[in-house]
Amino acid sequence: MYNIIPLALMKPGQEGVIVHVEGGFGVVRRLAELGLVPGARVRVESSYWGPVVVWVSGFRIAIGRGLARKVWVKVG
Amino acid sequence: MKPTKKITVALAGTPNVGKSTVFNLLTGLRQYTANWPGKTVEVKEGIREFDGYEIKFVDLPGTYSLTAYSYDEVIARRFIVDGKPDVVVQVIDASTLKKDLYLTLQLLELTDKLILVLNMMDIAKMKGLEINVNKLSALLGVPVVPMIAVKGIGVDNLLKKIIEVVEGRVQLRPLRISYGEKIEPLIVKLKGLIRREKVQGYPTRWLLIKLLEGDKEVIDTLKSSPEYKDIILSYNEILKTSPNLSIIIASLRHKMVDTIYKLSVRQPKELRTLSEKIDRIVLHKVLGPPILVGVLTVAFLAVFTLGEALSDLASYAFSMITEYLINNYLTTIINPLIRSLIADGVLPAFDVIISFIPMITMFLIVYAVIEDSGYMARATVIMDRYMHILGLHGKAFLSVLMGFGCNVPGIMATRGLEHHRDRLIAILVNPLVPCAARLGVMVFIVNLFFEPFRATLVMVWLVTLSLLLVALTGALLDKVIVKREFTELIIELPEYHIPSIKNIALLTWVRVKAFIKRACTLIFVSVILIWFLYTFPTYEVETSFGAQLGKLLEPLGKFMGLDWKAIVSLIFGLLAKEQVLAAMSVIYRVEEESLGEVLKNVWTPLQALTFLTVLMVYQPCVATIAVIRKETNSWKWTLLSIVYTLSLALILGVLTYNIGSLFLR
Repeated sequence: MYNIIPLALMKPGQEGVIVHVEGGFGVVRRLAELGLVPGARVRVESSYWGPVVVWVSGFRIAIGRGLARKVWVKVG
Repeated sequence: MKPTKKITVALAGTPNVGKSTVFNLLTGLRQYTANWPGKTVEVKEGIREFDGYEIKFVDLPGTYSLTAYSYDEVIARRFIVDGKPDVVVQVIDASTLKKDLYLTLQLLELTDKLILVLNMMDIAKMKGLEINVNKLSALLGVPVVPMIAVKGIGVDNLLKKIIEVVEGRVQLRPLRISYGEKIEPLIVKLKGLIRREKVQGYPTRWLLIKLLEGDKEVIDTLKSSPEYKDIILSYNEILKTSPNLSIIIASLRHKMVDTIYKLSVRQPKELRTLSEKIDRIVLHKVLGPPILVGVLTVAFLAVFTLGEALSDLASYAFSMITEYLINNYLTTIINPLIRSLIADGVLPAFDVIISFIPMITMFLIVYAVIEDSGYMARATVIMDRYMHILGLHGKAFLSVLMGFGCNVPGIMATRGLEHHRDRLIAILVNPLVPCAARLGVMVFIVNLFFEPFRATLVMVWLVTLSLLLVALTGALLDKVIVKREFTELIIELPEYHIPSIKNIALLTWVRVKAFIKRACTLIFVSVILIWFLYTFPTYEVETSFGAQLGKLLEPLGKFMGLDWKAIVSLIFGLLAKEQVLAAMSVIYRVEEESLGEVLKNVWTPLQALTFLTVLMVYQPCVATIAVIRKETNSWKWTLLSIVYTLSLALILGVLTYNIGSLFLR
């Protein structure tokens, strides 16, 4: 069983695989360049208010919460 | 002496890989900043002699990629193409190698002469990473030099390698990335339409890949020339059937990175770093904010208490020298004009500059420490939400905070913002943050006219008003300045590092030098100009051009209930906002100590409030103007800032006076 939820709703420590990134062309490409592409493994490090800190392919980035709502992740 | 051959080497790399440490190590004190025309990006250059060569190193802005996403990226890639460097060196943080290889793959498409520097090998080892340097070099087809820059290990090897590459003594077989059955046929098809190896210096293959990635600058380049019309047409066709090409390309690169990484690095199964543990506290939802407040308080005090004390000391020492000069030499000058120019123009101008330098230096040190240690990124994460309330980018927090001390470091603190546009907004709103000098004048006058409780309310109102203006101006500029770039926060959390003293000293030295060179000339000229206004034609302030200007503006002042004397003191405030009080004592012909009594007689509380509102908002002081000019590198934006704040002050002055007169009497 698995669910597909936005990155912004994942709990700290939760892992998953990105399935889809919404949003404007520029930002989708930017996230892709940083490794946030469909198929990439992510782990949420911290997420309470403001930006979400996420671990992806060996390093950590913080992304604005609004943006984190547009990254859909398969968890389960 | 042997004739020296000159070569140019570009240093590329993602942010936070210790590139500036490597640059400092290579060039030492022989470095300088070069502002690139029209842009807010500063590029450092430095010289190193080695083995009969004079090597010019150009420190490109740190970028994760080479698409036209930010100005930094455009500048980096333009330099690699137009600057024609003999070698490009990519500095990589060995402990986060995987992150950096994405840029490596793109550099390989743009240049044949690449050398990789694996910096921070010691940290990689500590993390348990085993990097097979030879394997990595063989896979990528370029030399790889291990390095520990903070300890100076690996520099000579790098220099030797650079010379070997320049002289063609190393075989380079740069990896050619294949983008698979979906992308490659498209490249072949488009290439058939160009049939050239290079387009405006860019390798054709690279250009086409960027085109397929939807790179705006590349599209514009091709559109500008009719001979590439066909390409744009077929690109638009391709876009109709497969709009996600850029994602496919990025994914393919990441897969390639994965493969290269797996083949050349062995890593422990669970890679948990000390930084992650630290972040659990620093970014903790309860502990994080107080830690931030603590750090920022220390930073603020360091800049404005220690810095100010040093500034006062410098100023004091300077005044001793001045006095000595005036007493012993100036009296021998008979020409009163020259005497006045020196005593009231030149010396005060130096005084303004001298009193700024210690504070600026302290600020730059503090800034470098916060940046170098890696804490800046964490602070940005915590502040992001609050900054959005002000309509600013999360990274602008330090700029606003420093602005409360002085707008000059406040504006300098916008350097962390990666987009030209965000940075411009942060620079232009900063003068509206009331600096300590203005707050000082405000407290003095408010206390004269209001009893303690009301005085507090008035101060709170004034500060709230200014923050409101920051927010409104931010929102306004956000609408007015064309939105080309996406600006929601995306920031890497780099590993924490203990800042290297040597590195910070060098960094600060170079920046202070740049400040003196670029900003101080303008400060100097402005101070002389103001001296001119108050000296000519009669040597008396009351009848000078400045006073005449004040009287000329008096009708305007009437709308705000301000007479020409008040206006003239405001003009004096351009020198430095704390000068307003000194100017008033001259104009009202009183000793500074009894100024309060006089003001109480000539002004009503409402007039005082109006005066303070205008004082808070109207045009930045000359030092701030100079630094706006320096940091935006544009007269247009500098003038806009002046005109905007002046009009805003006028509007608010009129509003305060007229609305206020309905209530306060």
